[in-house]
Amino acid sequence: MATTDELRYIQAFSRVIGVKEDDAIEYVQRKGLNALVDNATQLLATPVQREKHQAFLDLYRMSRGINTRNPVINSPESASGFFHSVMDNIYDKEAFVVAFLNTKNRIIDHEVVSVGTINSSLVHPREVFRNAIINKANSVILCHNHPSGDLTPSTEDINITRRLEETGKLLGIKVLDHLIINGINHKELYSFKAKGVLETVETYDINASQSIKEGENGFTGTEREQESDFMIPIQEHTYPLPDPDISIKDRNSYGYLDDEMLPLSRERAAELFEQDLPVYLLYEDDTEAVALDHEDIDKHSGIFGIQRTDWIALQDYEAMKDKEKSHVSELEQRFLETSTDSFAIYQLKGGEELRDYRFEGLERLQDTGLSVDHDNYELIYTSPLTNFSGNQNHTLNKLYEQFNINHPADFKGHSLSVSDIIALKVNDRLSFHYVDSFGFVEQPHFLLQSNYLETAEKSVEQNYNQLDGIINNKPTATELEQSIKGERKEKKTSVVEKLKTKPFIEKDKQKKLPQVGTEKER
Amino acid sequence: MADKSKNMSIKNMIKTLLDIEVDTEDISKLRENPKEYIAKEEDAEKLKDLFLLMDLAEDQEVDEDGNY
Repeated sequence: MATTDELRYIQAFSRVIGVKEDDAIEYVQRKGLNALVDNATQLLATPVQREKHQAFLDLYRMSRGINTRNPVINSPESASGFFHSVMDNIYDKEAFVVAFLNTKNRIIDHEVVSVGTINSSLVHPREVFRNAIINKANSVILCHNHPSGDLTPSTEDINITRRLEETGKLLGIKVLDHLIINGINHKELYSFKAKGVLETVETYDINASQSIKEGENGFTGTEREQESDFMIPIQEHTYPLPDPDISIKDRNSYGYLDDEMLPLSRERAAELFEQDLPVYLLYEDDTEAVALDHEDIDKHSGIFGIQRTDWIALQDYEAMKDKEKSHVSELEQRFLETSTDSFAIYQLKGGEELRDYRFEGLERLQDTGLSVDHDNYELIYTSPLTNFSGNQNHTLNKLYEQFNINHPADFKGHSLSVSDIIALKVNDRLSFHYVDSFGFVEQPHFLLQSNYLETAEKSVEQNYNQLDGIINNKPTATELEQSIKGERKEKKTSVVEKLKTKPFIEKDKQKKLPQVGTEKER
Repeated sequence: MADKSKNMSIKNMIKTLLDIEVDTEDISKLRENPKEYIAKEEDAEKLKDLFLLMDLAEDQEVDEDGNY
């Protein structure tokens, strides 16, 4: 697409979906133009935008299904309709037309191969397949008309069909059907496929074709079993599915076959719906409908789904959040471990739940029964402390001034304000100072010695059973040996199994459990 | 993707998207002659925008993967 077209696209998208044009441009720069359709979850900030986007996707897909320019062909009749539209002006002559189809049986393009008497010298495979290759077609449908109105195929018609079918096999481009139509009655047609002249197993229904092909793997049950012994299992997806309780195979057995939709159980569907993700009700006839509220989910007796692109976008978002979290943790670890005189700035974490803490003086905070809690803060910035005057208060004031008037370029927090914490590490002594309405108040319990070792260990070792005040400690050889023996005795439980046994309701509770550090401080 | 119209008709989807009322469930007809199916003339502009977006989305889909 040219840049102007891209801009027109973004502008139209912004107007229709109701997002800011600048936001859409920035999103496209990061994720590509296709993300506006395929992966817009992070751009859509409000439920109204999400609802509009979903409506657009639904309308777009429906519209594509009935797109007259490039229709999807699912029967000889729909193919005939298409050929009538392109042969409208040449019924008085015999014409041979080939339609090129993609993997979803959508017509990509067509070509009038010859006009006049149809014979094998004029309808050469080279002419038929040349544009099929250029168009990267998955299959072709052939069609010619009989001006006389008699649809009976001639011997030459049958020979041409068989020749083209053979050529298609060699090229890996299927000949789905060959139709004969006439200009007298649009409802009449002769289908070589329907009459059995064309022996292809391909059908107009792309899903049925798949089933037929699967059924062909070996002519007998024994052969299939033998073959399966040597087959490497194919991984369904290269990413974890959204619900370990239900597989793609389960979804297919249920009757829903679209691989763009990942299956969900009711519980998982409710959980993802809570997170504002579009959840679908899947039906056994391979159709789906978007769930608009909890009632839709409760009432639906079948399985549910989430679009693959939405699921991947959610995973990307969560990975990004984890990365940010780990960055903060590493920063704190660096500050706590350094032997150089340093300072750090802590600010309250984002979120509505800390609204009562934000910018509150210490006295007022305590009056309302709240306290300064390390778990509510994240370390925003740390740097060596240069030119320490020996006067703690003077240093704190200097830092306050610097982080209001002339803060470093890499400082991403807000200007230093009431409720922030300045941490100083001077001569290996740590102190934490609450920025109060007037001056600073030291918080000796903000991060106790044991806590900060623990914090560092959590970051370094990722090992909660070794919170023993020793950073980077390693197990002894005996301990290692015992642990390996223990592992061998225990049957390994897969992640999927673990998830299966974990009730999903617990997830929320786990999030709210106080951390180890919090308990120790109290 | 198959039919999602179990819950959402074309009329409803267009109402959600553009906040306008249309008088047909046939999107092809609506595309060919929008003025015939709307109450206010200014609604035609909104529909034009929507169809432009749909066309561009389709062109983009073709451009990106090369083999449709």
